[in-house]
Amino acid sequence: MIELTAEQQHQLDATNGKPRIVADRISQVASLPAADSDIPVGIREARAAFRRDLPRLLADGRTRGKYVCYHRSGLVVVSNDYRGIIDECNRREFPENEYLVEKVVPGERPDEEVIDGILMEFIEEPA
Amino acid sequence: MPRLLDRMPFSDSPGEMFFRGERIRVRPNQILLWIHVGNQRARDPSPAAVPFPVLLDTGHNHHFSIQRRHLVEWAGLQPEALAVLGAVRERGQRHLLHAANLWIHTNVRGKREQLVDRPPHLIEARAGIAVYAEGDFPRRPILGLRAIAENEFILTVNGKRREATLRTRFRLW
Repeated sequence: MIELTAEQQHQLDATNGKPRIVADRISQVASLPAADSDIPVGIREARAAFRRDLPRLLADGRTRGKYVCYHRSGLVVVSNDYRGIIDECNRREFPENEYLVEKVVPGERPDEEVIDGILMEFIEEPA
Repeated sequence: MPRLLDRMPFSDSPGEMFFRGERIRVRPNQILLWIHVGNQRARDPSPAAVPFPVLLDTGHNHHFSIQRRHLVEWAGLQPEALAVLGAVRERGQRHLLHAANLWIHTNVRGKREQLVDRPPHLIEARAGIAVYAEGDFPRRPILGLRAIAENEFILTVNGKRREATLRTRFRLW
């Protein structure tokens, strides 16, 4: 049997016996790849935040189809112009491993994806 | 509408060219283009950058793939100097995606190895470029279909004339 502390009992009482839902935070953390990944934490946070916000950004006519910059977990710039957003990131001196520029269009943004490298080259032999 | 490839010829027979003292074999039926790689933070092309030959491969489903040696020796960039944005898996191997943008230099109409004297055009590679740290794949750097699609370029291949043309969607000037 698990004994609750007074604080835990108080919180349980406050929710009529139902446990507090902390799933939002858990899902955010769970969507980040393993901590030992060689992808910088700032980039992973920015991508996770963009994925979280993408439905809202797509639904909003002011952001759909535009470029957005996420610095860590926050949306910091929206622009029509890719070079303009680069200028703004440079002006704000964001470290290169802490921000992400994305375009608000549908699609998955995995941290790791499978690609087909292809380049099939053939050398014909004489008959 | 600016042409990024202007009736770039592709031959039905093998050929070769020399780039930075290296003999490059061009296989039949391969479309070549000239690109330089720049830091993703650079809004303008580097005037000192030297474009290098890249193969256009519409079966390649990412922006751009390059082996480390070509990035270092041809593009003059160390992968460690480019932020890591993610990773890809290809044939079971994991390769890092580095933050970079691509700049395409337009050829003189109908000429494979002559470039027009005007600034190169930006190819956004927001997801980064795949750098193969080991091995000799890809034999030549590859520009994939994702780069064409996400930049909304229009690619036309004329089989009868054996020419490829790539252009932007909008008139820029």
